[in-house]
Amino acid sequence: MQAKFWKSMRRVVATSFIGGLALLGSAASVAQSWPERPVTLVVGFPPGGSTDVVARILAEHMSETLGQPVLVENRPGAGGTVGIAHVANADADGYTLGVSGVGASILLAAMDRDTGYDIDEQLDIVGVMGTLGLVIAGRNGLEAKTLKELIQHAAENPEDLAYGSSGVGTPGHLAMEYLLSIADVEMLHIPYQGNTPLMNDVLGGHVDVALLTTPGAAEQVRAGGIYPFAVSSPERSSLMPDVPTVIESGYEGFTATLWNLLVTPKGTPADVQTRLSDALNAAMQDEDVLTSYAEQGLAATLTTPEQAAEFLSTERTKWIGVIADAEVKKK
Amino acid sequence: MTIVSVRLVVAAILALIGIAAFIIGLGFEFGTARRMGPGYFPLVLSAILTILALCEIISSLLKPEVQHLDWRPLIAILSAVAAFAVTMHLFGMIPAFLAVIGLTTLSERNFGWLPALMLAATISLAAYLLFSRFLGMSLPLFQFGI
Amino acid sequence: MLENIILGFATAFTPENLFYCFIGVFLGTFIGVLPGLGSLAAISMLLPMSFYLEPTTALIMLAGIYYGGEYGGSIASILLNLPGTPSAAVTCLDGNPMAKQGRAGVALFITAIASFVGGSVGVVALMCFGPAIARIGLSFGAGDYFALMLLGLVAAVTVGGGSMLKSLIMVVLGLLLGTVGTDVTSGEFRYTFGFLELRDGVSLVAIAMGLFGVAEVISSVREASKRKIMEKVSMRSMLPTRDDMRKTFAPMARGSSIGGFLGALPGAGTVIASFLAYSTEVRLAKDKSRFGNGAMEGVAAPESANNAAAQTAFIPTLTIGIPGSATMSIMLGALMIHGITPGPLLVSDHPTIFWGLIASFWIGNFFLLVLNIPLIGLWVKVLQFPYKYIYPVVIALICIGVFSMRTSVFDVGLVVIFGGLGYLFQRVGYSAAPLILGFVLGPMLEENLRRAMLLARGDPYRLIADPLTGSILALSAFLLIWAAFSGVQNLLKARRITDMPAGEA
Repeated sequence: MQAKFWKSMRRVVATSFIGGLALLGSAASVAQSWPERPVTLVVGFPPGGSTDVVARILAEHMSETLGQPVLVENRPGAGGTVGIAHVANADADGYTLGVSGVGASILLAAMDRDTGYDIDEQLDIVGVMGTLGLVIAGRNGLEAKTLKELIQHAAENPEDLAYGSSGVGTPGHLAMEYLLSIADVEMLHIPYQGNTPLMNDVLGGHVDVALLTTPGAAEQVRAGGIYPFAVSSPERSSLMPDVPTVIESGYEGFTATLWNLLVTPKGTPADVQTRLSDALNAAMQDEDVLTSYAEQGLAATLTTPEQAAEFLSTERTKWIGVIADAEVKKK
Repeated sequence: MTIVSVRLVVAAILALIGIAAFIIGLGFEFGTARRMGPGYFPLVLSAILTILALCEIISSLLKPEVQHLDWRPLIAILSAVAAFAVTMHLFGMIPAFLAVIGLTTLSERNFGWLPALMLAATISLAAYLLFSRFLGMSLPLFQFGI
Repeated sequence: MLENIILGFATAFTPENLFYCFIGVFLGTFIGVLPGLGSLAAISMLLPMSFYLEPTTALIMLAGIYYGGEYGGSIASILLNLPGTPSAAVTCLDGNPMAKQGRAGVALFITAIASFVGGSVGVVALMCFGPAIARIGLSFGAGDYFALMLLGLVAAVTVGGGSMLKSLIMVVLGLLLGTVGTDVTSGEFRYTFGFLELRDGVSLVAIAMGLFGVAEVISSVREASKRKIMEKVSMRSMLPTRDDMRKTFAPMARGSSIGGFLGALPGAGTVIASFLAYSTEVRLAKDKSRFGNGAMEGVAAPESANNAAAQTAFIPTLTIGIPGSATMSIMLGALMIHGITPGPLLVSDHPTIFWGLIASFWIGNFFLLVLNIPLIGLWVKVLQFPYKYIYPVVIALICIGVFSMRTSVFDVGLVVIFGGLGYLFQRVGYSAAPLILGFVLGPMLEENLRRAMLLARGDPYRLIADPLTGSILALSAFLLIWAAFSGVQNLLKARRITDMPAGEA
């Protein structure tokens, strides 16, 4: 919706000037001297969202390592795919990077939506930018106090409980369907448009259960507005250390996390890729970055490009299986 | 041109929009009152629009009135905006500004080419300073091809 | 309470904060004036500047940008009929006619005063009843939202000065346009015709700029070239008379209360507020024909409602961490970037931020008044240029404004279509404002109805049986019947008058 040119004022003048010179000098030979001008990091969501926050935390540190500013550019739209499509079609000179989440990397394509790019054919994967868990939370006044009790209630009173997610085909929706299919119970799914209205309705008691991202939910849990049953990540969340994981609650093998990949257009020079990967991993070990990550409930990850590609393929197998199991309608 | 009333034409356009939307809407799943499909709202709305537009057609037939249209500015300005879109896409911001201003000034018979040219030059410069420099939008000033 | 307010003002009154508040208001106004760029665009563009500031200072500046942007949008609406937001579209209804009658200065002055009054009422509501209002907002479920939006639409239908049938058509067309794009509930694409650009819906700015701006220019080129250049205006003639002020006092009070209450409802509140305030004035007026022809109440009431709502929209954002609008979620994001996650505990965890922000809201509103009253003369001068030189610039600015919103040539193409349609609509007396409201509320209306029906397990009686939903629905029905009734009455009266002296109609 909004304009996409969020460069800071003081950087702007410098950028356009340097950018102009660089254009004249042609971008043919990039290898040795990269980066000679600011690097753009494209985020497929509006500023201030959780993806944007991750990108900005890392961009700040990577700017220092690379010696050139890494500027976050927001190109929101169509579940993050508009931004990634832009990256996929950009020059592979190392000056356009992208942040690709679960939806843009896997889910939308797996549900046969036309994303405008093919992640395997058009993008190189540099690394994983951290993972984030979801929390299964209930409105105040539910009798169940553990995930087991909640599922049991659903089993005894089919159709009594309704759960909300931040949209059809979002990780929250799929994760819950996955859990319900493991437990073999039914709940009514109510899709919302994003986390915000969902939070409003679970706080107001209009919907019984909700799958929420941890940072926003943690504050509400602390204030007693909602009751947390379990977190979907393999380990407990730094923001809610008292809340058990779904696995601990007795559903073996269940994990669902949100994550972001740092991607570049296919064919980006190998040494540029290596420097990007090093810069990303350096950021993941930095004190300040780790503190900011903990505040946002994010888990840091250290990956080589190969490990990241493997991570993507494991996740893809898992989510495609979930989509098939849950019989989520395609298209 | 004065034989058919504009009011009737507009009502007819609206009715056509309604009918077209209804026909396309038939392709979406209608669903039930409980679980409304993506087609529920569009179908209901386009049906209402068609009915209302038909009422308007009848009412305009009952009370015919003649409005005239200013064809010159209408065509000049719409094509100016369209030209902006095309030139912006192909050649960048500065040529687009020249095109839009140039065509817009054709809405008046006697605008004069000198004032038009001066206006175009001033605006292009101002726009460059404002949007590219001050607000920091990365708009291509000149370019070629796609 | 008093302690907190003092703490707030102590926080806000540092030279640095005052400076950034001023910068924010100034830049916001400046960007908001540009066609198509409203407060949302202003705040998103300038957001990165705030990353280098202290959290409190950053928010104070962003809040300043927000008000500035809103006010700037009103300036463009009044002077050139270029609304960038639904609420600005309401301001156009009477503000632009006022400008055409040479009373642009008065309209701008009243806008500034009404904004200040509305803003102040909103700030007081925020201070005194913040948490309570937030709880009311939470208690609104999907059904209640649906009913409320229906009420807003009914208000829009009864707003259009002309025929109710035409307004109704415009609302329905707006609702239908709102269904274009990805369906929230199923994820299916509707009416996208294979265009990637349409998946996120038709651009509101393209519609508004086409229907209002382009259509306006096309129809005024001919008259305006004949229109006399306005005489030099003295400062005196720009100020409202004492009588003007007296007449606008009650509308401002009513507008502020409507806006103050509705602003607290996330999503829909701020949009509906100005329409409801406007239609209230139309309902209450003795002579309804003045509306749409430069009635001052038609500017004062929606402007104060809009600004009161803008204040109370911060209530859910700050007290429960739920942003009420796209602009609010950017503000929340700004807080998160500084490591503060807004939630129900913000007030107790970070009192300086909360109270400092509230104090700066008021200071921001005050700055807006101080900054803009001297500038009114400057804005009015724009209209003293021969129209010949204004309209090509307006068209060029519309183009670049729409283009830059999404860097989309496609959206500029949409302006061509909506500009043509808008001109036709204007010629035969369709008002574009109801269409805008229908368009904005459409997706929310559909989403909430569908959700409400799901939650009610498909039983419409369960929906209506809810006391809140039921009473709002009843109110809308009453309004609609009342309007229809008085419409028929007027028609009969008119017929009797025209029938008596046989002849011309």
